[in-house]
Amino acid sequence: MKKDSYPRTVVWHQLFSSLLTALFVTIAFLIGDSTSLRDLFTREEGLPFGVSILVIAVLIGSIFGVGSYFYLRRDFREVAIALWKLENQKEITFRPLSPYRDTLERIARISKQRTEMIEMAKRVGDRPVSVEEARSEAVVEERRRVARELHDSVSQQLYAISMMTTAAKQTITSKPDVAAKQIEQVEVMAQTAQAEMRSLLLQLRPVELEGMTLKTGIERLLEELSRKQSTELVWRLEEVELSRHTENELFRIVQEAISNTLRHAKAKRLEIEMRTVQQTVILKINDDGIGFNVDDTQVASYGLQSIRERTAEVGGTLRLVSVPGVGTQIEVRVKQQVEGLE
Amino acid sequence: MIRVVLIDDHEMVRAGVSAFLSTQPDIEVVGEASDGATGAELAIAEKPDVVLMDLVMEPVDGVESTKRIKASWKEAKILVVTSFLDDEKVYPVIEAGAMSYVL
Repeated sequence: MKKDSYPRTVVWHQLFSSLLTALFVTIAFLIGDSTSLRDLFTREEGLPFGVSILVIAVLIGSIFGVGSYFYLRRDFREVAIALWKLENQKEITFRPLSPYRDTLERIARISKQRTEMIEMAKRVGDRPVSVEEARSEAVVEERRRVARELHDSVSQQLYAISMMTTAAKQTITSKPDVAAKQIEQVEVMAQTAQAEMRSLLLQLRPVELEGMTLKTGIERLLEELSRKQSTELVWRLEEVELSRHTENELFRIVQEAISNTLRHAKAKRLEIEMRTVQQTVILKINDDGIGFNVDDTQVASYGLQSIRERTAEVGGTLRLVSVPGVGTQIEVRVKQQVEGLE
Repeated sequence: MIRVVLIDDHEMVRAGVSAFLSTQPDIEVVGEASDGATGAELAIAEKPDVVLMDLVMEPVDGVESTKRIKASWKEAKILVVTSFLDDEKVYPVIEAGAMSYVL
């Protein structure tokens, strides 16, 4: 390690201030005792008084100067060592009582930030480069997610149904009233499983609009869902002019939002609205369900994450308002492309 | 009588397993919990013969819950109920002190 010594000038500073003090003391004597300058520097025996004061001042100044030099050097070296460690990517440690703690903490933070940046760069480097690889990775991830969701919902309900049915089989002769209750529970479980299965299937549908306009695509989807499930669906849709890609993404957002609502919100009514105001397409999806706490990370499910990402992807803005017990409102705004740029 | 405590975050699964166990003449479900934290407290308080433990729960999972029970009640018999998907999570829970697991 290349040593950067603490500036020796501190010794001179100390010396200088001691001399200055001596000078002030001398002046004070002059004024206080009305002793003449001449008297101070002439004496019969030994050193003149003025000279002794100067000598003492120099001595004290040197002692304090050298002392504080060594004392302060220790603290200074700690900073120098931390910088050296930063340079050589070593772990930074320091005494908690160091007077330079703020600076040292700052150095430690810089070191941490750099480590994170290096890791991030490595991750980016590890990412598949080709479109093919990226796609197959996305497919694997999607499969994993679907497996997880099935496992967490339908699979659990089927397990419960099987258990409950076995129980009902046992109780049906001895306690028929208990068995009747259990069969009712089986019915509820089966209905829940069915609802979850449906919404998972909805997520698995092909994303593309396949030649339909966004309005027609959403209408078809809602008409089909109206027949299949109990939540009341209401929609007011206008035709919009957006790029093919943006329309596909918005269609997917609608699918995700509806799927989320049907699975989690326990809503009676779901409203979907799409219109264009001042070259901005506004898509609103409202429900009167149980709502959730938007800041709760556990609720930040795959569906919401996907909506966020897709909105960002098309350069839109997302507003998500949810009030527990009142409902949830999702609003996506996308500016239309300026003519000629498309 | 075999006294059982059920810890599982799926309400329906608890209802099903509980109904099934109740049909067995020598088994009694003495308590149910929907997460690992309250489950551990319940098990320690009730000292059942067997604890049936789910693995994937929030915020305290089956592994952590097993550790908590074992920490204050060494003789606890904990049986993990899991599906094949939680395979890789079985070793940690056996290490934590679960007796066995049922797939």
